[in-house]
Amino acid sequence: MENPFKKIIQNEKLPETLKQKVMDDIHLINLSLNMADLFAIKIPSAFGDMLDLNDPNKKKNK
Amino acid sequence: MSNSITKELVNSSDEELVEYIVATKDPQVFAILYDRYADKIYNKCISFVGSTDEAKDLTHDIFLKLYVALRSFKSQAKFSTWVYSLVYNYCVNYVQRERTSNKEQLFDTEDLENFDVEDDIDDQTIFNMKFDKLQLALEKIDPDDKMILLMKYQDDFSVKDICAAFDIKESAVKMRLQRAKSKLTIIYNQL
Repeated sequence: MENPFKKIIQNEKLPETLKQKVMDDIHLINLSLNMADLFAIKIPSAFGDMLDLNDPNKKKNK
Repeated sequence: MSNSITKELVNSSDEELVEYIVATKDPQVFAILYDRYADKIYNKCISFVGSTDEAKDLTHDIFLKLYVALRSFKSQAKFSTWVYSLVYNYCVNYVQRERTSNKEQLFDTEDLENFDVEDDIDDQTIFNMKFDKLQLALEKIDPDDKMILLMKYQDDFSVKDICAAFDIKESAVKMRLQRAKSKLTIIYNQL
């Protein structure tokens, strides 16, 4: 006996234009993640390092 | 990334591609996964929402969610199983949200909420169903039940795969399957 669930599978093709839209949005997601990383992690870390360098006590310890 | 690396990766397994994408965030490599799953995901969406326009929007949103969620994929599971679980959950949430906002009434589910699970409904009963009537019954059944039935009978998920997809125990999966089959049979017989 054939499984009727297999017969109800659709065979529609997704238009190629959607792929470009998905890829564009993924570039945008990457950009947002990179910006978040820059402002939340990299810049604060760079400032932290600069302050450490300017602190004479820490310089002595190093 | 150069095209030569993309060409090298075209024949890689899904799991290898995911590992590469998580490490590099490379959209070109994600495009390979897109090509492998786009039509499958689109057709799953059509089976839940009916309209092709809505299904296109859902497919688009699912791929973005998939890209962001790739990091959480654990390679113990098969990637296709993980993708289908994500697709099903997304579609079920969407349909339930739409139905709540439209106050659309499904099949008389209040009667079915407290019904007793019928004796074991064997697969033969399901396989004897006519596909056009089955399609109608699946449109009327609760999306959660539809999801587990499609996983089992359309995508050939094992009980273990379903356990992994829902993060529940085997006995709970069997119970949910049995309830879904009972509800489907009741709705089918009333059409």
